[in-house]
Amino acid sequence: MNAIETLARKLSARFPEAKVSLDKPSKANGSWFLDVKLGDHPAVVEWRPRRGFGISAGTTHGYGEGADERHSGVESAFVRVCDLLTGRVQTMPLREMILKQLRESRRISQEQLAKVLKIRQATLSKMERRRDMYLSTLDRLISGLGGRLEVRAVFPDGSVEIVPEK
Amino acid sequence: MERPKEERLKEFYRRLGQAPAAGSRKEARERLAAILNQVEDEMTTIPYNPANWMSDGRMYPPLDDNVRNVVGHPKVKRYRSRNHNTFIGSNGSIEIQDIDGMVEFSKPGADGKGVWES
Repeated sequence: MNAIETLARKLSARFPEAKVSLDKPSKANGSWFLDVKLGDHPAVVEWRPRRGFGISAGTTHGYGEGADERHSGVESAFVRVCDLLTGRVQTMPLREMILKQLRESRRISQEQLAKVLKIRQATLSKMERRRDMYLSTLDRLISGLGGRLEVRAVFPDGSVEIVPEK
Repeated sequence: MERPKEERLKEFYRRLGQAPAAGSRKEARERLAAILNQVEDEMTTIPYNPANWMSDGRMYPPLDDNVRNVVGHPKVKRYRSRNHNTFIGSNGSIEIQDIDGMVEFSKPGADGKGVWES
């Protein structure tokens, strides 16, 4: 039994009511897909031996997209898929537009957030498209969305939160 | 400025529907890829990087690695992606279904036959 088959078995045991189906590739080196649906909330796991698990959840209007998240081991993938299914969480790709998506996912318009931050909407639009920004700017944006920014350095043997000097 | 995926997908289906019918699987795959890449180049600023396994926000054509045989239809190949199955017949016909089996797009091959008649 390979890693994705193990994951499929674990998910079936954890969610007996879920629809779990495994899509095996024709080519030995091809991608396996595992589709899991709990109620109306779907999660998709793509797997290749050397790449690990690519995980996505929720609805998307796209075609031919890659996975939103990557996990290397069965246990890590299992925990994440369980969280996504039970919390009905929609994954999002990690890319430059993530701030915009984050704002939209919290159902806050650019106009509303600009008002909270006391800046012009055009300025906010530029900030959301910026590839790099000061932590203080990011902190302000996240605060404006009602959240709190945490910065964490992750090492193989543990992680530590970095608290910027104020 | 990126257009929403929903809009880009609609445009991709529109252009693929208007394109001449393909006469072979190879031609159908090449046409599908060319049209999708054209739409993404025009409607997003995301660079084409098919080697990137993770989502970068761009839509990509079916990959060779994701091909599957279709039981009972030896002339049809299925290309699996995250949320779709793309069926392509040896006559150049195309059918794109969402993961629940709902047909989103279909186009006959140059011989006028659909995927399941090929």
